[in-house]
Amino acid sequence: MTLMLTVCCRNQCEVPGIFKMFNRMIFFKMNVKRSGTIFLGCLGILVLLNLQVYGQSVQESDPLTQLDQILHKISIYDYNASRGWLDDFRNLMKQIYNSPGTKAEAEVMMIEFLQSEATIPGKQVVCQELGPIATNKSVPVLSSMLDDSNTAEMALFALNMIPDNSVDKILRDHLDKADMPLIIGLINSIGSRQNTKAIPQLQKLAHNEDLQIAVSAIHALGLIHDDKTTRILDKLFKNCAPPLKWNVADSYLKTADHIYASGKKKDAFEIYHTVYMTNPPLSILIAALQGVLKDPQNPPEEEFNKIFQEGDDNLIDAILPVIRDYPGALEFFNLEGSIETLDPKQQINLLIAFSERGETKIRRMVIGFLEKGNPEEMIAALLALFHISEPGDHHIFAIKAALATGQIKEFARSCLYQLKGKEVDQQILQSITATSVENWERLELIRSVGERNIEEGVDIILESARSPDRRIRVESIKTLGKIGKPKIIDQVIELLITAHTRQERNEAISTITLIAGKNPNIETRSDEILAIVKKISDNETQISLIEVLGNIGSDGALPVLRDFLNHPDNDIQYSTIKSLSRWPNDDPAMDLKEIFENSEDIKKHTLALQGYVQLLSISESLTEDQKAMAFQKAFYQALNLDEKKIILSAMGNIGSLKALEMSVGLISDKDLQLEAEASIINMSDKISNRFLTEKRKWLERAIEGSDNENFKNNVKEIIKWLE
Amino acid sequence: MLVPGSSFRKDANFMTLKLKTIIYGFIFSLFPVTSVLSQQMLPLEIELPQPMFIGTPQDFEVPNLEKPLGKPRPPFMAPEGTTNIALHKYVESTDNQPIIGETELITDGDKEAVDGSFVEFRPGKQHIVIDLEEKHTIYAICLWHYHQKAMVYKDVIVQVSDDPDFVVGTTTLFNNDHNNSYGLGVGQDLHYVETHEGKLIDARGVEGRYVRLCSNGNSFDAVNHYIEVEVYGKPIP
Repeated sequence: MTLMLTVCCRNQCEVPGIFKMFNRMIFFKMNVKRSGTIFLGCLGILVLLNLQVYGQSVQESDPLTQLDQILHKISIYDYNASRGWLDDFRNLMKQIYNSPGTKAEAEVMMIEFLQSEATIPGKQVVCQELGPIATNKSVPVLSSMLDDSNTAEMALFALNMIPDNSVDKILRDHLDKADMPLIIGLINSIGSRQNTKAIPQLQKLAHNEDLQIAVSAIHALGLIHDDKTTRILDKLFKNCAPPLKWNVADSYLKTADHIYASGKKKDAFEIYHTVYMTNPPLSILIAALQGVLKDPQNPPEEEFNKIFQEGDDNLIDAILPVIRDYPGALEFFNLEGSIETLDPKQQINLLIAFSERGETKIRRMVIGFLEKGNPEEMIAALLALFHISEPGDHHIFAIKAALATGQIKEFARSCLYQLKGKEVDQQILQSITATSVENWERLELIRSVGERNIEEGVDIILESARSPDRRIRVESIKTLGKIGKPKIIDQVIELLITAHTRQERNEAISTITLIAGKNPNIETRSDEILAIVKKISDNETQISLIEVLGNIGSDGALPVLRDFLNHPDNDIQYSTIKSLSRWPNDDPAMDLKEIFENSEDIKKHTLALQGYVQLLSISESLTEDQKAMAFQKAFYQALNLDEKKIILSAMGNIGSLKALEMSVGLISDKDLQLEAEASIINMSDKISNRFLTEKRKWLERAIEGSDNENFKNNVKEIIKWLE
Repeated sequence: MLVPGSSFRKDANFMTLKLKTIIYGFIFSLFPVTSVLSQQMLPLEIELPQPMFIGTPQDFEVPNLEKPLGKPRPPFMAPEGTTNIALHKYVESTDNQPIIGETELITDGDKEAVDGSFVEFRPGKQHIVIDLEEKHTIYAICLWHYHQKAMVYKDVIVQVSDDPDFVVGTTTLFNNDHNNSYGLGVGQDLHYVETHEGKLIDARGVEGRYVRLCSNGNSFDAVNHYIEVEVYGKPIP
């Protein structure tokens, strides 16, 4: 077999085909001579060998051989067919690109491919990959493809990547005879290749009647940017009317950038000023202004003044980034004078712009906005202050978060949580214990400990959880859930035991659950609670601990909870039933079943039934039919309509014909008709279509039994869909 | 034995009985109304937040959708002295760790549909319970899930009870759970588009301490939101 495979690889034959044949041969022999076990073992070995050898053949075979094989596949590719080979092709071309030895041969193979009868989509794929390796050898074929509208675009793509001068000539030659849309591609190629010999043609095309052609030519002239194009663009700029004038301006400014970079700054400034003075559209104006600002002879203050005095909001907003980046802007807006003449919105935007570059001199103004601004300005001021924050600013954000509402509160909190640095963490912790800090601020600072995950603050927060202020206690308990580790669980249980209000107790329950959840050992998560839960004499605390045991759901707690089901206090029994109802699996289902089968206490009955239905719904050990049977039994134990509705709701979520049959039977019960119908609709797509005939039979019976036209129509739709 | 006229007498007796039943039934049915009418009725002053969208809401693929009123909601009449008894009251939820915000926001009096004013609970069925701390007579409940854009919340159920578990003595005031996904029965109320006016539910003077509000995602995604819930009522003397 090994020899055969080696031969296959060396001869570069269709390896998978040979494997198929070989597999069939082995399969035949196995059927005749070997037992099933041996057959499977051999088949496994064969598969492994196939994979290994085929993998090696792909990896180790010559790239050109691989290219040949892939080109064969591509030759018949059409747009709507699979391109499963595309990644292999691209990876192979990368390999070839990095291997000078194979590049030339690959180019020849691809040129041959382009001249073959391969499909147009196939040629398109090959042109895309030919470009990076193509040389002047490819030019004649690609050039001829330019004459065919089906292949012109792909050929241009490949040609554009060949740095040879012959390509420039071909592009120029085709420019005179090309139509839309190829002409646009040619102009763009000429521009990107900075083909200076094409300038006269481009100059002519810049006056073309077709605006798209004219705009492309103007853009190409801007890309070429030599003295000649500068003169042409200058003339065009002076003579053109908008909107083409602004396309010219764009190219003209690009030329100016190149002139500036080449050192002829004076010439560049002249262009920037010329364009700037013509009142162009905003984007052009900003680009020109950025050039004008580079001119040391013309300080921009006058321009800034003019813009701000004119008060065009759009323009002012647009130049803010320019002002921010202008080194002398801060001095110009001396913050005592001219900035205050601006509209508050512009002032604050300017302050944000300065804050982004860390200008601390604006601090006084920013604080001013925090005190007297409208909501939008306050949020902007918070952002500016965040950018230039100093040690101790956590107070400002915490106070704002405490006193404001809505968006401002939220934004101030967000700033407080994101202030950078370990020293901020330390300052926050110090402030929490400082007597000078008011409780409403302390509240926000405690909250920030959780959001910033300041784990070293756990002792301080445990202390604040015993504060005489209820809100501080609640917030501290919440925060402990975020930063607390399992080692503090006893202390949090103590907080639960000493809780003053229901809210505190509830927060403690959540926090203990969260902290216990951080214990990697699931089985020991409840240990601390189990150790004390029976010893607690206070009902409220015991109920809370029972709730925690339900939230954690570790097996060790189950016997203890079962004991609590027999507790003389009803509230403790209710709480235990609710805890068992939240169990992560159906282990306590039978306990709950026993309660609703035997209890005459309506509340206990309903809670147990609710829990039982919930646990059956999540059960992974019962089949859908078993669940349906269990629901059916529970249904007949239900004491009232409310309980029956709970069961019908759960039945709608299981895919069982038995459940469907039961729901159909209940349509005639006027008190439950709507719920039975809802259950049928809900379960119809959950029942496997393996039982299509029976499913359809019951759905048809549902139609017969119902007088609800809406329901009947829905079921008819379902039946139609089944068919 | 058949006596001529006996049939008539039977019918007459039956009619008398039926008439009495109707009259007594009518009087008794009026009783709560008359007790309400004996109090001075005033329009409920519900302070509305800023509207966040204008115009006809987008076409929702939601069945049983209430037609927009197209004009401001008419005033709701409630006995004099009726106030928002849910303001700053404790709210419990099935999601102890909301995705955004906290349950306090539901009764903080801020109804604006902006960041920092709403709480977002996890996807799927979630409910909140407002503890009014003592039994009240409730005349109306107004709720705002989220009105920054036109949205429809699914399986909205509003109940009042004295039992924190809502097992005994529970009154359902609103239910648009059309497929019984909550297991509280199929509701006949319509889905509605959230607006800055909120959803006003007539509580018909029901008495209770706890108010439960359920939802199961919305027309946009599966999460649940609350901006504010106001419960208008009076303490029971």
